[in-house]
Amino acid sequence: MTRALKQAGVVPAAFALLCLAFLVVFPLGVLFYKSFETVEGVSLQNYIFVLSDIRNLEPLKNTILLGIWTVIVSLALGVPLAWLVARTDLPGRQFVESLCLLPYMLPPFIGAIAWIQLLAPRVGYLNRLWMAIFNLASSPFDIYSFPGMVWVMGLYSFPFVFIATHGALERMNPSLEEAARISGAGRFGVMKDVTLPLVIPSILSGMMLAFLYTITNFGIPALLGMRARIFVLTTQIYSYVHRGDFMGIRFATVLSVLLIILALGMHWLNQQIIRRQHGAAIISGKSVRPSTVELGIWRWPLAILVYGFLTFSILLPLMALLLTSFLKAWGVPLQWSNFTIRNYRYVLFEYPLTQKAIITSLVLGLSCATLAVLIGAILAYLSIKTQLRGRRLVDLVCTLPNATPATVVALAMILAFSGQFKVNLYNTLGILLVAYLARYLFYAFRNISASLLQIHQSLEEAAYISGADRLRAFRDIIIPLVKPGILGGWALVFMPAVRELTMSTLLYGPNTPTIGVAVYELQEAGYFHIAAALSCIIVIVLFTTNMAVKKVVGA
Amino acid sequence: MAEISLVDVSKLFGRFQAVQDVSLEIQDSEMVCLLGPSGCGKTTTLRLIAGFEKPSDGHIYIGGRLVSSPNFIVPPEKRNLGMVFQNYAVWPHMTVFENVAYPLKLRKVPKKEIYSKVMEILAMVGLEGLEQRYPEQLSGGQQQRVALARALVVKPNALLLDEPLSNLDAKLRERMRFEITELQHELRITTVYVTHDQAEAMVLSDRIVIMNQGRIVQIGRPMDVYRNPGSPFVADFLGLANFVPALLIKKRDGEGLAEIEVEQRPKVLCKLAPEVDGPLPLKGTLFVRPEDIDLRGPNQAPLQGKISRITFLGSRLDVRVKTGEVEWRLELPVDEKIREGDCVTLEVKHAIFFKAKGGEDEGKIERKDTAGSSIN
Repeated sequence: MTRALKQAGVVPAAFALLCLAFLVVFPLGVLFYKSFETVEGVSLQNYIFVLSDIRNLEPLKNTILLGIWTVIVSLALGVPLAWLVARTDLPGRQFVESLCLLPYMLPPFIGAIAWIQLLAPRVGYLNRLWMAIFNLASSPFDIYSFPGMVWVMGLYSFPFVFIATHGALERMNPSLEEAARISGAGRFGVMKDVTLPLVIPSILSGMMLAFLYTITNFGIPALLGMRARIFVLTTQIYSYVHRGDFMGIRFATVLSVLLIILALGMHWLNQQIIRRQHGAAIISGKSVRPSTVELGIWRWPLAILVYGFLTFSILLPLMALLLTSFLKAWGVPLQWSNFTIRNYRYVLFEYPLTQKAIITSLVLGLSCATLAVLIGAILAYLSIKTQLRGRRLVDLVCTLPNATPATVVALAMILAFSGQFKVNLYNTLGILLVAYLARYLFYAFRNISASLLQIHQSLEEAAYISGADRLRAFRDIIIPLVKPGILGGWALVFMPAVRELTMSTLLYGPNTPTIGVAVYELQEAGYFHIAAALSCIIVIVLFTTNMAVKKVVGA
Repeated sequence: MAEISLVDVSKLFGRFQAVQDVSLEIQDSEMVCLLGPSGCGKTTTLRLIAGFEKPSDGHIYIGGRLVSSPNFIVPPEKRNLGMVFQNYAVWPHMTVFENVAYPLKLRKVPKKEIYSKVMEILAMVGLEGLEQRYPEQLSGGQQQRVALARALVVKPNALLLDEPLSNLDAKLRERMRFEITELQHELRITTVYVTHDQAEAMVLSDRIVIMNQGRIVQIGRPMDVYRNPGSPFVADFLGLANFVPALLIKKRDGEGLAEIEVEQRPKVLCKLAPEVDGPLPLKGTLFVRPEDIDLRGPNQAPLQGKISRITFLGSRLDVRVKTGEVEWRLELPVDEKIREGDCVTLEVKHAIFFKAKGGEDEGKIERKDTAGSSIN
């Protein structure tokens, strides 16, 4: 181990490993310990107490139900769309694909806000339209409800199923299907006997991710559920923490550990599925053109259905958000006299809270992304290019906080860095940075690891043979070759950090509101039009970052 | 330019013995091929010489200087070697010029000199005019030349090549073989070449080192190892061979020859493999190359049979002759007179007798069909 460390340079390695311990191991360890700590000592007392309270079982039940229903919606949307895009001659398949991936880029709380514009009782645009057409006195839809949560959550988690299924269908060796055709199977028979069984593991994996995403999400249940008094684990933890008293924190801690167990269980299950799939090695990594199905007379009707649906579910909410952001006030009639750009001016130049929030989030995003790339690069190098003992552990520790729900990470930071252990970051930018880093380090680590893996050992060895020592080879060969990975990793950290809501709501102080917090507070206070303007600004920032990165990194 | 010597070198990976007691002297400006099936330890041996692996046991010297031992190792960058990798390892973010100039840059050669040296070596490998290209704009063969130029540009102590031609198509491989030999002769550079292709090894090397299961099984000039293999494994690995069950009747000690019996027909003459002893008659295997058998008319010698099949190969004929149970494979000049079904006699011109299995040495034969004719 000492030799492996020497190879990479002891100082950077030690620095990165210490960061990892400080950011991840320590806070999560404290959280775990605290969940067992009582006045009388360490015991299961807290768990018994929390679980025997009916008010805590309700959120647990809601979490699981929301997860199951969302997965059903994701399946119903993701699998048919993936098949249409990957295997048919549906017109404009590339475009459909990018529309399906759009929710991936946008923060879910903005989705929730957008859907509120459409389906808020009485004042939502669609409700108003509906009431006008059918001359009704009351509105038919209420987004502040369990079905409302399932619907919006489903739109945000179906990309997981879509991507997994689409990938498997694309990579599948067409000769497997052709062999079935030659053997006498009809088009339907091939799908049933060959295609479906081969993609089922991928679909399952996508379902797991969708479920995981749902049960750990905070924004959607917070904005849509809390008003209807429907609590899930994340929102319940949030309200316990906001109660601020000793018992509240203790309850929150116990619920957090339960949520971690649920989330890690899902992760583990997913890993098992992926491993089994690789064991079978049926789907080759080679990109071969898969056989496509001609839709015939169904081509255009299906196209209309698909485009209609995607317009309704993905573009319409964004348009509603944009519309609201130009309104003088939420709920006013849509007349020319009611439109204004004042909201944007207000958000950007006049209102101290939003100005402060924009600066805080940008500072956090930039510093977090830069630090994450720095630490992540060292850790990735240790884990992939050295024989360091315990490098699998580095991998695991990097992944852990990302698999842990953001609410839980935030709570762990509160417990660990509020002064009880000599470090007091409470209400500072520091605690936000630490939390962001812990959670997003994984993206930088994984992205850089992936590009390191692609660098064949011999490229490095050729440098040694040419006379370069380890540091020189690192500088001349490794760094230039992983540059796209580093840039990509930077963006992958910057984007979620800039728009972060969940951890921020628990960790922000009076001087450190983030954009996410500002949007959330404005929305909850009823300033929909201002929240919408700020949301639109976030969307624009995210889009431009994404475009810029694509341009720099290249295809 | 330097000689390389390996003394009792072994390499363990965990519990896997990749290289075992390898001792080898490579002369200055000699070209040696390490040849063997995959997993025989040839690449590990090369990487031990390069310094990428540290021996578990033994010593390696380059130019008389100790470079590797279990507790001392000169890192690869300090060995002044050139190496060509199987996948070329041409750096994708550097142009052809930058790739080739890199070793010179590290040696702090002045800019002007770098330019002239790089241009000179690029001309030598036939890459003039391509120096500003990036690797992705080159064909596989051209990338191979870049790798070769980069390895040679500093006039290294030795050139190491790890299956450099295995990713090229057959025609190009053929051409590159000769180009590499010519370069090697011109530069008179000590070269170690790893391959699993026996034809490549024959064309290229001054000496062939045949390896199996981590050990060297035979070293010799290409013609020697081909004509006089020390074991059935070597015989089989180096080319087409007939392996026929035989009985040793009588040794003619003075001539190093022996009389053997094949299918109860006595008086076939052959050479003895080293260390064949034991009470006569002794069971074993007769090894004959297809080109070492001649056809005669019927009833002229002990081995009589019938032509069972003739295959036209272009420049030669592949002829199968059945004598009782055994089918012999012959390679003959094109002759339109012979027909399938003809009765013929076989005259064995050069053959070697190996003692039957059971000895420790024979345990290394991997192929199950040591009896009957075996086709590579």
